[in-house]
Amino acid sequence: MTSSLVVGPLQAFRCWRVEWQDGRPVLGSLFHTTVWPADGPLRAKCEQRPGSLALLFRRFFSRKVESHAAPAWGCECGIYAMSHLEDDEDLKMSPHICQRGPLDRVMRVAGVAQLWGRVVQHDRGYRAEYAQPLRLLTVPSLVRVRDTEGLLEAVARRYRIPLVTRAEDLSRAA
Amino acid sequence: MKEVPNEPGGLSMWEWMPRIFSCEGEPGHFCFQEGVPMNIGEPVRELEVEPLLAPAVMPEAPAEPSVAPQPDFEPVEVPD
Repeated sequence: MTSSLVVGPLQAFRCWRVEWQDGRPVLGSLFHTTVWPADGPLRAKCEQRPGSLALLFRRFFSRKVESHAAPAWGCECGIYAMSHLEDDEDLKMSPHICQRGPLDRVMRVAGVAQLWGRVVQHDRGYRAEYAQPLRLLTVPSLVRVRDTEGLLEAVARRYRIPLVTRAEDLSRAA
Repeated sequence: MKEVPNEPGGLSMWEWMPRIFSCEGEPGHFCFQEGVPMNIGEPVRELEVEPLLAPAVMPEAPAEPSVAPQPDFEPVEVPD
């Protein structure tokens, strides 16, 4: 597999978990406990999570732990983002509070991230080695709770990224 | 919240059970499918993407001679 050289970072859509952690506003992954650093890019690493029973057995009986740089072709590792959205309706629900479990609620926000380094391009998105948040979308009509607004503004200040209020602006930006 | 039915899609119980409490099916699901990575389709090719700005390595400026005025010499009185 040969790789093509692309000049300049890619921009793509993704979502983050937004919350306070130890008194600081953080952007986090929705699927992992990963917290995106505010003072630099996030670098991907393959966590080799047991996604299937076969992989679980393979890891259990294998002494050699396979490790590779992320993202790797044929693996699922890397920092995910969408190159385009088929339906902008998705963007109009940002921020959005999701019920992640019976007692677990999480606020997620959509935005645009820039990606660089080793990147695996897919039909609808990318898996990247490095990523950094670029813009966040907060539709004013959805920011009803004062704490929510404060949290989003605090996140934007800490990560030094702008909040855009229209989905069109975010789409155009990407 | 939308419940995911048991039978369609070939989902096993272990796959659909966690989704009952997820936001899948609601607007915004492109980025929130609990336990399921974002659906970015099939891999097409590998890229090597350069960052926008290379890490700035600024050479240190040569040390300039100090031009700060020296304090005037004041004779010290030596007691006899």
